[in-house]
Amino acid sequence: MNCERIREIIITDYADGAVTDADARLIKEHLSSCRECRKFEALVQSSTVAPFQRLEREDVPPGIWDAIREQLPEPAPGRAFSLRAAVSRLFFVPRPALLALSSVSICVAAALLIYFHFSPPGASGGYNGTVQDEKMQYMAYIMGFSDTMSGRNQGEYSYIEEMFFE
Amino acid sequence: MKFQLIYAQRGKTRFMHNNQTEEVIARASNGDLQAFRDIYDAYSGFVFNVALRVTRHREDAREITQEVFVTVHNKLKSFRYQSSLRTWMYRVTVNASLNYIKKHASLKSRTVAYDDALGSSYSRDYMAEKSEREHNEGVINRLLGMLTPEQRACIVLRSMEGLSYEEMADVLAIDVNAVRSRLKRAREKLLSVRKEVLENEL
Repeated sequence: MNCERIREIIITDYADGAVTDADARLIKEHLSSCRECRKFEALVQSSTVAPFQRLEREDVPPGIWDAIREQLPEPAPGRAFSLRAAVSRLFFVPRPALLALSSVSICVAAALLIYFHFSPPGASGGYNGTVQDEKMQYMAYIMGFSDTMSGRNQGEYSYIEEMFFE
Repeated sequence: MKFQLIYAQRGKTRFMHNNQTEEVIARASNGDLQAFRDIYDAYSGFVFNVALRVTRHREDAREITQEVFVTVHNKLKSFRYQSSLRTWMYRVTVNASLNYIKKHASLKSRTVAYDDALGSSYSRDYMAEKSEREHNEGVINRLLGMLTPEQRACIVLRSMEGLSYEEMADVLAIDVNAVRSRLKRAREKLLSVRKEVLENEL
């Protein structure tokens, strides 16, 4: 790199500590052998960077808040304590999180809809017909609907049933 | 719950953009005055100082600070979190300062000339008694006066506020190379006028 290019970097990225380590090494090497660029670098630091960095912040003058406050619209009566505001504060979800949550919910809902809409009963991956029949029979047995499984003939009642019906 | 923001000091620390900040923004945009006061307490320091250095007048900086916070209050509802609140506030402040200068350009050109003339005519008498801080302040004010308002904004954001080139590009709505070339021109100008300024101040 020639002196002109080196000085361009010195007055911007190098002065602001924004160069890569490799570039910083390159410039330091150049500075160690180039007197004019060394003088330039010292001048940039002392005249264009350091005085501004040394400057302290001034305190904000009093009274600005009151002047701002006067220009703000008056809040509606009771608005700050409204039920709606309280509820929304209670269930406040940060915007990015809300966005992520909504996206996931929509995707899940869409996936379920597609899955059930396009999968006929008994199709692979859906409910198995045989299993379903067995379940139905078992349920019927539990609930006492199946005479064949209970081994009773029609017209026969159990002891408890007789208590009620006869 | 106290709104905790870290003041930006020369870019070493950053305002946190977290859920708590978002909650305060949400409350302030719903008319909660205390939440907006918290935002004011956290950000008014840099708003006032950026405006002060860009305009070089305390009264102007005062007016701009008021204008910035009223604008921010009215636009909080439309704040979309695409950048941090801090970056947004810097942008509003710089734009307000530059617009203010444009609006009052003819008036200010007379005022600045008057201020500078006053400074130089009195400088020989009481400069010796000035503290180093005040001296530095005078040099800075004169150096900044040699730059265009846009160049001043660049120097202020970089060297006083410690923003990175990327953050400056975001605040100034230009690309990083434009930031670099604006800084380069500003510093070249400072180098060319420094002798004149220093001689005036000593």
